[in-house]
Amino acid sequence: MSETALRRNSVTINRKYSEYFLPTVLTAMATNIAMIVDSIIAGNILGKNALAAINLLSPVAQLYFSLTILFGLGASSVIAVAKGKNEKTLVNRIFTTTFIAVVLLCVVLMAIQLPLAGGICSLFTKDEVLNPLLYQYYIPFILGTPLNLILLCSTYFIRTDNRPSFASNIIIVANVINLIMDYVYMGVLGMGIAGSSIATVTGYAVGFVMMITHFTSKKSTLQFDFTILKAPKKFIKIFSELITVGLSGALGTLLITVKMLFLNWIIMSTGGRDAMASYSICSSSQIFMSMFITGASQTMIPIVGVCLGEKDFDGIRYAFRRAFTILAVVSVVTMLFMLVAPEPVIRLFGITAENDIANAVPALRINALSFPALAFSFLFLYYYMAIQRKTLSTTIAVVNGIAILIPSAIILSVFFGITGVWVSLVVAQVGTLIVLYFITLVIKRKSRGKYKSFYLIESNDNNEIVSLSFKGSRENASGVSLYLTSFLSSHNIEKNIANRIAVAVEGISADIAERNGKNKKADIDIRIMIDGGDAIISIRDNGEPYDIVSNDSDEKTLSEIKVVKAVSKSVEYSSVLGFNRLVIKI
Amino acid sequence: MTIDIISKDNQMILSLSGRLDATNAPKLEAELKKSIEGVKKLVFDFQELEYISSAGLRVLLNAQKIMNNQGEMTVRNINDTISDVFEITGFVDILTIE
Repeated sequence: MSETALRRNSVTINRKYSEYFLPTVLTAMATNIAMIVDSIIAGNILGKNALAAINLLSPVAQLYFSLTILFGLGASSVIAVAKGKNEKTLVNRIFTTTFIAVVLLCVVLMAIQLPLAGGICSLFTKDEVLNPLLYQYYIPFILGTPLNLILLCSTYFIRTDNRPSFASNIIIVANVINLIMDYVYMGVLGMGIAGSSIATVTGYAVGFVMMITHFTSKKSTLQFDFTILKAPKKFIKIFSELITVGLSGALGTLLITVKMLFLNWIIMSTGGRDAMASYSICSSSQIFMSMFITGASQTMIPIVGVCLGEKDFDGIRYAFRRAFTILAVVSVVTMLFMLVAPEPVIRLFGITAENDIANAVPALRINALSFPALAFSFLFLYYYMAIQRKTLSTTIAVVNGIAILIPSAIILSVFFGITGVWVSLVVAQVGTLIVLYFITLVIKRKSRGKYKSFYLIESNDNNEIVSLSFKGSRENASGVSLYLTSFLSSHNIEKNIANRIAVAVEGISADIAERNGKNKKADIDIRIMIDGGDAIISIRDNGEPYDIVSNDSDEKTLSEIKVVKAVSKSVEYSSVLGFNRLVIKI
Repeated sequence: MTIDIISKDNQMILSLSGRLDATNAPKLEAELKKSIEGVKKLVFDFQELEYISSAGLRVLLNAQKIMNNQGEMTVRNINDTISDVFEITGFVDILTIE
């Protein structure tokens, strides 16, 4: 086989990305749409006061959501890296530490909020109608804390455990149950506003049961390892790690609330109610964008994490490029649509008066210009989070959330009125990318050639001597061994070692081809590294999951793995993101 | 891979050249299946053989099992890399190598 035919490609990473993308987008859609429909149902059954009371609690709901990102996304990112390194004990310890931390957090949140619920409600509103409604809504919300936080954190783990569709189904089912029970509790049983909150908790309870079925099934690779409690220093170290990794994502989400509160204030004071109506449409179009931003970015995180653990820097770049391409297409198409035809969108929101439409059109058009930069800002935030550039990703969260928006909105509104506020939305997003460009430039220069691009990863693992991709077939197994024999010998690898590597690679590749049949050829990535005196072969395939190392019980047959074990010092199997991965040391 | 076969009386010499890998091993297996019956002495000449994979090893092992019942089998003229594979896989203890 020629070098060109075997050149490392993005097929395995792109296929894994596609497998994860739709469920992740559906999860984001289910959450966002359910939030809107939930409010509509409550408003229709109980009236506008109930709707207002529910919306008053949105900062607390947003805080909870941020906590699930902090622990769920933070821990699952760290787990992905540990899985890439094949550190099974560490994976289970991170999982256990996160679980314990979230349970403790639930206890603390409930212990603080329950006795202070009345006071907290008064902080949000002292209105004599809204305050009692808020209280009735708030108490079931507090009692549902464990179901809410544990469930939402767990869905991140389930996704990293190669069951993205199941994780998505949990969220969809929980939200559908929520909406059905909204109608049952408020409409049929007349439970008032508390019914809305109890419906949400009921949805989470059903999701919780689904979640338990995953962790008790054989499909789960995550297990509790409570020995971590006997090592408090390790517990604290893991806890600190997952918190610092998850912080940027959580902060980014939390600052959206701060940003919205600020924009509500400045838009009301600069442009009044008409401008607020325009902003509501801008905000909804951003929610539409956020589904794709969340989908594309969060799909990338576990894949990048695993590749980082494996030091597969090409894989990291492939996953990023895939997310980038998707977001570029979605954001540019949405932007162009808003620029060309904003009026149908405005009418969709019930604004029909010509004067109101004329006011909203420039708002939508200017806001649309921010979409590509908004998408890329969040993509970079999640990317740097995934490669564990914690300070950089947190900086993006702060710069994007408030640092540019607030001063630019204040200054521009003074000179250009409400148009200045719309322009500040673009300035904040484009400004974030400019700031990011200069920060990465400084980091690159300081690295003295180690980092050559904004990826801020090395071009290649220094120890890597060859990286190949090919379809799993008997012919390709032979072809790759022929290529390796010649390539390795010409790269100063001792002849016998080169031959052993060729035998091992051919054996495993032929076995993968055999197991997956002729019709469903697996894609295989092979990397060969030299570490000290050892040659390390990393073989990853997307065929049917199969632990070739453990399933070698037939002593009479000379299986491929028996020969591979014989020619190598060690062979380790792991299943990561549904990939079969073998690390062979020769 | 090419296979040259010389058969005389109850002896058969198979001279292999090239690579005995996953693609070529079935070819050798088929050839043996066709010709091994009645053979009392089977010789594999690896003078021109550059490489042997696990699939090739399996063919040799099966041939050895058959010859254990009907005669003897010898492998000769192996190169250093094939010798290394025979050694680490324990084939030196199973095969008669000249």
